[in-house]
Amino acid sequence: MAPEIKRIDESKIETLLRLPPIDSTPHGYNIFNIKAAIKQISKDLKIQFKDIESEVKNITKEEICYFPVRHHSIASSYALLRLLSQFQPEIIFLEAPADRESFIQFITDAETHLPIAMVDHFKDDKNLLGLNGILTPDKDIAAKYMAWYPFLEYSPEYIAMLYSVYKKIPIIFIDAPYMNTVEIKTNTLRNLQLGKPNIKSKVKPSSHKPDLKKIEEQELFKQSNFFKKFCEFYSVKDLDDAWDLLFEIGVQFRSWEEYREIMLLYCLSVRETIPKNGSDLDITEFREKYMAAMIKKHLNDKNIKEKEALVVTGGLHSSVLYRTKAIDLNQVKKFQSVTELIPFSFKRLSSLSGYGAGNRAPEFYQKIWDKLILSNEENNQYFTEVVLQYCIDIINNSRFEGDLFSSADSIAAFQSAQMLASLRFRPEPNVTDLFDALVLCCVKGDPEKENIAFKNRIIKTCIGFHLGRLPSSYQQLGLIQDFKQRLAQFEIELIDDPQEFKLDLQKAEDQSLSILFWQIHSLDTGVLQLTEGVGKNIMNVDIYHEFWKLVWNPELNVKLGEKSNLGSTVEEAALTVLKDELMKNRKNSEFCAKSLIQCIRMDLIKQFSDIKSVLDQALTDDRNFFQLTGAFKLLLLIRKILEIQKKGLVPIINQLIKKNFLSICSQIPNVANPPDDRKDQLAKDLKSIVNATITEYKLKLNRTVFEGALNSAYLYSNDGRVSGCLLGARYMIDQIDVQTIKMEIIAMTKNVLEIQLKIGQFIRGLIEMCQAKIIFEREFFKIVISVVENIDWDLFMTVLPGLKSAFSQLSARDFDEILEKIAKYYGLKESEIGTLVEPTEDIKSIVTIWDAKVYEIISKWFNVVENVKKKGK
Amino acid sequence: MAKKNVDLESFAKRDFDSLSDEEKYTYYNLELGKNAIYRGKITKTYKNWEQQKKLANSNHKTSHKKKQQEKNGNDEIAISHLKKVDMMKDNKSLDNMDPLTSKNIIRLPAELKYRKELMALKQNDTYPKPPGWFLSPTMVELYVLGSNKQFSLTTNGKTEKVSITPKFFGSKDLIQKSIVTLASRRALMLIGEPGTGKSWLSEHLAAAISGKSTNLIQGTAGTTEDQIRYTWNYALLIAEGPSEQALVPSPTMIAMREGQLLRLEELTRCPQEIQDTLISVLSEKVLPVPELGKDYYVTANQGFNVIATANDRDRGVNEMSAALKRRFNFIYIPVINDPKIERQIVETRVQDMMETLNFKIQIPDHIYSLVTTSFRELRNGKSKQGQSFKKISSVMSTSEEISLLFDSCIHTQYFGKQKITPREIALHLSETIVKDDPQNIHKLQEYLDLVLSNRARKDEIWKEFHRELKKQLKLIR
Repeated sequence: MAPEIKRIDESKIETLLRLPPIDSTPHGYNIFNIKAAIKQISKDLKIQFKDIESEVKNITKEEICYFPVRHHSIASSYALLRLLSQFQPEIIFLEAPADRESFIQFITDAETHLPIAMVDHFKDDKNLLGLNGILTPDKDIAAKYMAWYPFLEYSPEYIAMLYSVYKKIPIIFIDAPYMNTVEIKTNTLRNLQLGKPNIKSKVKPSSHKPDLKKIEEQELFKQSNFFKKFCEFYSVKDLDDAWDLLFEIGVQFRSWEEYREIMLLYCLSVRETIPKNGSDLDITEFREKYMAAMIKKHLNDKNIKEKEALVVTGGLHSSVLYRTKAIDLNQVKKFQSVTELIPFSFKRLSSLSGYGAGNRAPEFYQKIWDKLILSNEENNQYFTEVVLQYCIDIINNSRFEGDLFSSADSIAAFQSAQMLASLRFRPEPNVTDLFDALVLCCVKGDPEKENIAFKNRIIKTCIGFHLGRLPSSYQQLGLIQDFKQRLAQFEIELIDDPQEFKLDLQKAEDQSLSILFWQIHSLDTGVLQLTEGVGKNIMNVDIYHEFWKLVWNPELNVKLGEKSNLGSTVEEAALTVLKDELMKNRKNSEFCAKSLIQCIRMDLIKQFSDIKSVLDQALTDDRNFFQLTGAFKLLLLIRKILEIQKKGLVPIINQLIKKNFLSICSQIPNVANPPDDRKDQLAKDLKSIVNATITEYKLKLNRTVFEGALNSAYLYSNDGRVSGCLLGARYMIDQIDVQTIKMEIIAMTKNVLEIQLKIGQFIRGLIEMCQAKIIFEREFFKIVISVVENIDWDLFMTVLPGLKSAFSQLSARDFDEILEKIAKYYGLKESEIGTLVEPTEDIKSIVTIWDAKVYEIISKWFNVVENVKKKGK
Repeated sequence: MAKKNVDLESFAKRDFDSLSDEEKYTYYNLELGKNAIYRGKITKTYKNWEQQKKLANSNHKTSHKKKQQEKNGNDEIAISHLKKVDMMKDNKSLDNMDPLTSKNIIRLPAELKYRKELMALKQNDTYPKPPGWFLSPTMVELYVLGSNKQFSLTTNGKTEKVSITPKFFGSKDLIQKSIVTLASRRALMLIGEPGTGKSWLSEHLAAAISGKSTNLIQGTAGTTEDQIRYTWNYALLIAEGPSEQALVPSPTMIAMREGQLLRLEELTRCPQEIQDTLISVLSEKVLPVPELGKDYYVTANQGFNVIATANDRDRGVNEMSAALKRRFNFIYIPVINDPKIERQIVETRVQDMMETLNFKIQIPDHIYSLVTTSFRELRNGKSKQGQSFKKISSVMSTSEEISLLFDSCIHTQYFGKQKITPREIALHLSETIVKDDPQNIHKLQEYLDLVLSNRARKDEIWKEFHRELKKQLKLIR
């Protein structure tokens, strides 16, 4: 189908096709006889090089022109342009997901700014692949699948599309849809698990989730023995370096025929040495069969001769397509996936960012491409020029950020990059050499520890910050549109400068805005940050106000695009996220309570009862004391919020709180002996529960059960501090009096040494729990004094840290009061408080003796000084 | 011993090849000043002779050495240096003093020990070379990292195949960056934990790049400026005043004149003001000698550069001034984490050291395994099975590992039954660990109790090791 020309930039394609003739003067870019190298490596691996050579000849002799490419490669695009300017096919077959040709008009639109990506996503509501419940927490939750097909200015696929639109020739996407490859992989793994003997694969069955990422061709390269040997031979680190060496550097000196020949030799050798037993190769073969079928079908349907056809596919496919048997397309299942175009970014595209796909340094190669296409200069060492520019720019940027670099460092880095390239048999430096040279010259220490920021800056600069944009003719994703519209309702525009919002939740308009902000926040777009309010710090509760910061993030559209499968509106997407997260963490009562708060904040009240049910179940199932107390605190907060909003849901929450309280009580004995790193949390949580028991009288929490739990835990506990907390908790809820505490302490002092040693921590626990209520109790006060006075020195030293911690819990005012009490206990009179105390006669006499001695010593020093001065004269 | 009644004038005018063996040897010692005994006995007469010879050489441009220099540059000096040594080797009467065959020599410099490899690489070197370099960067890389390929070496008409053994086991990138730095205007600083091979690498780089690794200054807290720049023969200085004869060049000056690499070990141990002496050397590549006149200075010839090392455990590199740091490229040499590589290094080095002493002890596989495993575990504070325990504070580097094994070999050779057993390992391991910090004894005990006791139940070798180590710890306590 010939795409209609809508708004293509014709000058662009004309510029691209206007390539200079190949410079045939001798140069250093073919110093490596690549064929000889491939021959040598093949010999080492015992591959018949002659067979490979004849295979290449067979492919090149074919009527159909099979053109091997690497995605996002300058060399592939450049060679393709040379081919197109000479060959002028009547139809192009392109490796892109089948039946998506309708997107070509938008991809090639003059308004489009690359990078953009085609996104294929599928939600398996009917569980066709049987992975619901494996990839998702529950069988009722549909698994979601997504695959990206990005395009750059220098992607050969883009070049092919641009050409086809310009020349008004049909272009057919022939790759098997992603979901079909997922199906194959799933079946293979399932067969392995079922132990089917005819499936021989090195992929071991696993109870873990299957890796269903789109198989990138480069992953297959890495599995090949030829490739590994090639890396050794040429001392290259990875596929990108190997590619640069073979094709990218010096591309302007190579004809498309030479490019194709070397590419086919290389890919065939790789293919020959990929282990046959592997599900990845199965998928590749399936795709090739599909492509062969598509080619055959469309050539027949359109009645076009083979010699007028150009097939542009990945190198591994091109090397075998000519002899691949076509599959029956009617046997291939059709999945109703949804395809959309989204704006993309260089960061998202770069493998260095941690994503699996694409080009390691898109910006770097973009610069090379720009020079290649647009430059009229005679000196065409493009890689060298770009590396030089990067050395200067990166050093300048670092200086701006505060690093002490100078032009000398730029010079040194550039020279080092060139020398490294030379040592690595590259005619010009590439990204690897640039990175190594900059780190070598600028990082003064262990590069894993020193100036990490500088290394990150190099990576970010090489990756670049380009963002794509779709044309206005393309119907934006529902989610992006809804996002903008909803902000526009509040007259909010996203700008570069941060905008701060202080929301008063008692006002209706602010409440509506708060709802929207919470929904956006849940999508994790990076534009919105809660600076103060519920959710920021649960203990610092101002439930009437929220503070937000909103700032435009360049990745916003990209992130929204990626979340487009969650829903077509912000509310829908937020709901999906909430549900998914809840199901993943449904056994965690604290998380469920958080989800409940979020549900209220996002005004997704319809979900309230579902979440409430999940929380209800979690409160039964959860055995984690800390999670239960976390949930308890959150439920108390929810209750307060609902009381303001008067939503009539308070009784439901009260029920949950009571249930939660009982669950907590049942778990208290289990935390009688917590690990050291949990004791602080335990003390805080117990205190919260105690406070709630005392203050939330309306809830009528069952004190008897609570007391029973505390008592059981106390009897079971071996830890001094925890025992003190537990006993203190009972005291706070008026289940025991200070006499009981006094008796306990006395009993401890008369017990074995092991128990005596816990007194300090015990008192600490008591004071932590009870604070001022107990410290001023006369009986308690007296017993502590008695303990301190009567225990022996060694024991005292052991008890002292606990006592010190205990008293450090007090506020400054309470501390002063207690000091006063102690002083009075020891005889300080009321009238003497606040006055300076005169030293006794004994003390005075000691001080006098010391004074005399000090005077003697200082006099001696002065005598020495005087003598030296005299001698000097 | 050099004869005092040598006819100096005729000696100076004669062609080197016509000298007798003894005279050649005398010339060798005088020229290189290697042998300390002779240096002490060199009198003013000989010094004059040396100067006369030099003058004669500079005036008589047909001299052999000058011809070679003009023809082939610095590398020929290195070759002729190596050739001389070869000639010495054949002379039996000089056996006792011959550095190559003398059993009194503990350790030969790398350029002498691996002279065949260097010569073979030289003869097959077709790659471009920076000026003043003995080998091209590609060949230097090959020399350091080794090669599967054999190179032919032709000496005196005979050709043999020479294998290039690996000297450094580690990242290729690291070596490439080091070589690139040395070819640039910046100096090279190798940093890392003690025992990671910094000095070793420095020596081999110097041997391959300059054909000489002995332009060496050891940094200490007491290093003075004289040791870096130059010093004087004070007797001559007082007798005759400042003169070139009275000037005693430092390794820096020698390296600059000869266009060779200077090695500075433990640079950061030197006081900062002493370190900063290098700044002008590294920037302007000039060493002025104001005592000999305002216009007297030594310039660096092509091929001159500096390799410094510093360990980051003792005092680190923070004390280098910013101005000096900027003149260096830093390369961090990490501790070897790969057990296979570690084993390879240890095995190679220990075998090497045993050959030097002509030991015939066979070290069984399980002993290597025992040593490398226990070192790695103690270094990381984690057993192979993932059990954690307190890390030893001592340096547990590959170098220590090599020393331990070698000490065990010596022990076995002289006190044992010519067979290394876990007993020797246990004995030396406990000493290695406790020497720096006595508190390590408790950590070693923890390792014994937590890890070795379990392992001992399943393996006889570990059982023996556990038993012996336990004994040693008791004795130490």
